[in-house]
Amino acid sequence: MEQTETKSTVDTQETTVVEGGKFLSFFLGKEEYAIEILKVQEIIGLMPITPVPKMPDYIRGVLNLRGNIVPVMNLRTRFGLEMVEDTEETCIIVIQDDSSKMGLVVDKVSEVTDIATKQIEDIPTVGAGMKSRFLSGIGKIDETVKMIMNVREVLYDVPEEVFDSN
Amino acid sequence: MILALTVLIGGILGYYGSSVGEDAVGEIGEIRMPSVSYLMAAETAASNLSVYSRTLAIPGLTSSERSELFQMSEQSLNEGNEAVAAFAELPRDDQERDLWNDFQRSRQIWIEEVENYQQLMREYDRIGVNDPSALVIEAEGFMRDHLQIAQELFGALYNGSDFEQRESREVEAQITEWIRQFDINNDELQRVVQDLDRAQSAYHEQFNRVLDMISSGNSALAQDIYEGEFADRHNQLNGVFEELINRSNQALDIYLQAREQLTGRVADAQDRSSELNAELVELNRTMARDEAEQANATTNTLKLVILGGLIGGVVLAILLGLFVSRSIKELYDSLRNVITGLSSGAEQVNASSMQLSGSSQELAEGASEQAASLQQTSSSLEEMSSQTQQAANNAGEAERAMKEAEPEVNSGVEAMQRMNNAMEEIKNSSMETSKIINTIDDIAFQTNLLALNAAVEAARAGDAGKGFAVVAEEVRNLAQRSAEAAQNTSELIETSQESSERGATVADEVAENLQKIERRVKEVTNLVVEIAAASKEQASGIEQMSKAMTEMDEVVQNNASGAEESASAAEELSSQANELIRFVDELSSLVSTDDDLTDNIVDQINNGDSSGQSLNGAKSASLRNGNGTSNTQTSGKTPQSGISQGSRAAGSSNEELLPLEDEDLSDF
Repeated sequence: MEQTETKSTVDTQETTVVEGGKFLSFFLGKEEYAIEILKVQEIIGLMPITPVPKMPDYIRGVLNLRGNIVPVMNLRTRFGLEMVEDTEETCIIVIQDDSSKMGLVVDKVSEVTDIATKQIEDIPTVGAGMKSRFLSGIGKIDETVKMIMNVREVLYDVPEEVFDSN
Repeated sequence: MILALTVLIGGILGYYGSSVGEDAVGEIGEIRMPSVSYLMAAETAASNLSVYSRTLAIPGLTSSERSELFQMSEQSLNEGNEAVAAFAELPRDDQERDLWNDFQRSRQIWIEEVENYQQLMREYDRIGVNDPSALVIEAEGFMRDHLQIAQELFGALYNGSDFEQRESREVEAQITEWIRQFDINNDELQRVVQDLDRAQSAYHEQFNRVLDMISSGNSALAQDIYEGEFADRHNQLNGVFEELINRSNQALDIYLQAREQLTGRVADAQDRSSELNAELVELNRTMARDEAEQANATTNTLKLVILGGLIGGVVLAILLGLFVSRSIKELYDSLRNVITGLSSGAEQVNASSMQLSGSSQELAEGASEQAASLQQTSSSLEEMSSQTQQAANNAGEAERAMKEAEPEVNSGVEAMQRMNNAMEEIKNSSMETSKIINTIDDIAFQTNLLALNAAVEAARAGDAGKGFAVVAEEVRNLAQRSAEAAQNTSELIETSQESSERGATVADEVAENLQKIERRVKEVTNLVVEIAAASKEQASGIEQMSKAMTEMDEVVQNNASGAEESASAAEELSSQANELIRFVDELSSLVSTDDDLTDNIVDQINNGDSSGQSLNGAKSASLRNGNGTSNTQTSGKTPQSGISQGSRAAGSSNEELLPLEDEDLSDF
């Protein structure tokens, strides 16, 4: 109970500003992304994923994680990037937001890193004030840039029946 | 000689005449008569066969009779074939050959038709029904009888009419007797007859049972049996009868077919064949007659020719006598010619012997020179021989060296092979190692994931997890380092694999080169062997040559001495030739001095004296003359002038005396 409460408070704050802390960074192609570490439940290697019919195209299927059925999303598809073949480094990051669990297929998991609040900038406006809704900020560490993923937006318009399989 | 020729011609004509007559007799005796007799034999055999065939068609014959007829037919056919084969061996002209071919074809057709007929008859025989039409009538009679007694039994059973058992007993006795008298050797038919026997006895058994029932008053049971078992038996009996009738009808069909074949096609074919046979016989007879007439004509002609030859011979003999008397005259002339030839020949011999003497001297000198140069040649040959021997020895050395090089090259090739194997092993173990590296890489990846998870957990734990987070970071670093190390190792292994593959390729090339060297070495060895052999042969050749030189040397020495001897002999010859000239001179003076003598000889020949006498006369005259002219020989110091006079005198008298030419002389 306590945990969920703290989460929800964090979440409400995140909608506007992203606070610094520990992040798990990963790669999609050459771009590095980051997720708040507290949204991460665990990282697993690629496992057999069972396709499920009548699902959105970015849902790759479900996997059996120690007896729990977890839906798995192709993050590349979700971000509108081209699909690539799975490699040895392809991993699944299992994230949790509120009660929803979701596996995200990423090209490569990088590291757990600290990003301070001051290192986080708002995402730049693209075109006519449109912001990429899946990002909540950009972390700058030394010369590198890590795009901080907005977990809630990523899971936002996923149909309910995807999570029903839980 | 001409007499002999005439006799010979007469003899040849006589011989020719007799041989022509003999040919004609031979032709008639050896070809025409046998032809006719073979053809007649073939015709007889054919008509015998046709008689047997017709006999075979008589219905009611027993099986053994038929088989005898088949055998006799076969025999006739064979006799006919033998006669035809014997006839085929004889020579014949075109007309006869055409006719013969026609006859053979028609005979072949006839034989085929006869065989078809026999085939049908054999089939008929095989069915085993000897007289099918009679059998059908009898079987139908029995069927009717059985039906009749069955109907009467029906009347007795249902209408109460009387029935006499005697009637059925009679029928039973008849059929039993009928079955018993069957003489059958066909198994199927035998089986049908046995079936019939069984069926009729079953029929009568049931029949009697019904009668018993009737007589014991149990008519209901009798009716049951009649309608049941008895009816079944009756039907069975009828079935067997029908089968029998069917078989008979089948036999009858085949029989009719066979008879049609016999009267139709066989008869036609035989008529045709016989007709041709008769034509052949007629032709042969005509030819024999022709031959005889021709022989007579030839003999008559020959008689005339021989007579003519005799007359010609007598005339020739007379002419010959005249000719001989003239030829004798020529002899004298020829004698003069001979003397002239002799004297000029003796002169020539004299001159040539002088020449011979000179050239013999030259020859002797030349032979000495030749001997000297032979000596030189032989010494240089000896030198050559020793050099050749040296070459042969060197070639042998080279061959040994080459043979020693061969196993070394081989061991080089083998070593290359071993090296290749080692390379292959290196490649294999590199592959094994890279598999292990893959495993390590995988473990590093898993460890990395674990470390990340640990970091996640540590972050969740907040402050309490800080130390743990550090540990997790360290573990992760280690995992990354091991992954890097694995990566490096795998690169190294890849490099080593490539190197070993390159090494293997190079080794292959080296091995190939070595093999080429091996081949070359073998080729060179072979060449050296050949050189050695050739050198040896050369050496022996040179040895033979030097032997020949020695022999030649001897021969030349002999030649030199021989030449000297011949020079002295030539001088001797020259003096003898002079002697000869003198004698010829004498002879010619004897012959030419007396012209009356020749006239005398000619007269003698014309008077018909024998040639021997005239020659003797001539000889004695010349001898006498020789004695008379002895002065000229002694006084004439120059023999050459004497000869020339003599020959001139002989030349003039030749033309006068002998008008005949050399050809006539040779004829004589």
